[in-house]
Amino acid sequence: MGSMTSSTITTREDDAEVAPVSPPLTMEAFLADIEKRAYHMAAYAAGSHADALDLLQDSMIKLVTSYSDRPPAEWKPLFYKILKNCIRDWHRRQKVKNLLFFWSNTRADEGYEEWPPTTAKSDDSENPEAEMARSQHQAAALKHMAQLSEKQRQCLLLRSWEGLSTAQTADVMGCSEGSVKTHYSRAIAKMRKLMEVDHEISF
Amino acid sequence: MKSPSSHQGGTEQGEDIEQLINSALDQSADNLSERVLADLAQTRNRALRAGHEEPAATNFAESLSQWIIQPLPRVAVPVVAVVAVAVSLNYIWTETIPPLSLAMVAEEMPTEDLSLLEDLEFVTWLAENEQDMRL
Repeated sequence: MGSMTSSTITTREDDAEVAPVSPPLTMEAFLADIEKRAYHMAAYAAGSHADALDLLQDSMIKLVTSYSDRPPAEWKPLFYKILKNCIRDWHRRQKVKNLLFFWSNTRADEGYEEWPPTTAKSDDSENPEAEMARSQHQAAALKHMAQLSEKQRQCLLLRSWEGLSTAQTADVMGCSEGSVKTHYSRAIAKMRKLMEVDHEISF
Repeated sequence: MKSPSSHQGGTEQGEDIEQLINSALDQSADNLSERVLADLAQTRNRALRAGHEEPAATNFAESLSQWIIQPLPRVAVPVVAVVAVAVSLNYIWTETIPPLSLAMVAEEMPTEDLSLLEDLEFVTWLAENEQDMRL
């Protein structure tokens, strides 16, 4: 759990023991490190590139303007909390907008781009068939992520991908640790089921 | 049920679903298009710029909003506003213009004009007297 290959910020205790003393993290470095993962969360929630960027920008601005003076260790949960609130507000605005302008197609703007991307990228390797199958499974996993509920997806992304603890995830999501565990197990079960049905894979 | 790739010795089936999801997300994050990466960099720079510009603009607004919600200003500001409007509407200007001193008038005005003014005052007095007598 906690794939942090692209991350320089980690919550693992063993990493902290062996890690050399590093200079204090700047806000710019933190944002650069977190932006891709946060973009995925926002894009899954909003379903488009343009809206995801808006959500990301609002969250970043709020973090920079209000919490720059906080210790860098607090930035990650704070940022995801802000992003989660921005996503919630965005959904509310969309609901009102759809009620008021039910006759117009709000998705017809030029900046709209479907999320997740449907094409799977395949790296060159010694076993192209296995690599192709792997890429297809990964693309399917990304596609099935969109079918999870908002809370299940957020829980999965925060706990599994971002590596936050149950307590931190509960704090970010504004629910109890028990709810986090429930959301997480349901998300895993649903993903497993979707993958098994779609690709006849058993986990 | 097994996937067809299991017969080719693929490792996908052995991986846990969590690992598959994480690797898929990592792969997706690593393979974001140039356009998306450029947009993300632009978004980050905008946020950092806003962080440098925002405090000066928001400090006044924040301090004003903080001050206005205090108990005393919340009562005092409307009262002062009502009193100010009432006074401005009902105020009567009672102060008269002070008369010019005779010395200054005598020095600056020509003698003919002064006598003309005296005649005018006398005629006005006569007219007022006649009006009083009629009443």
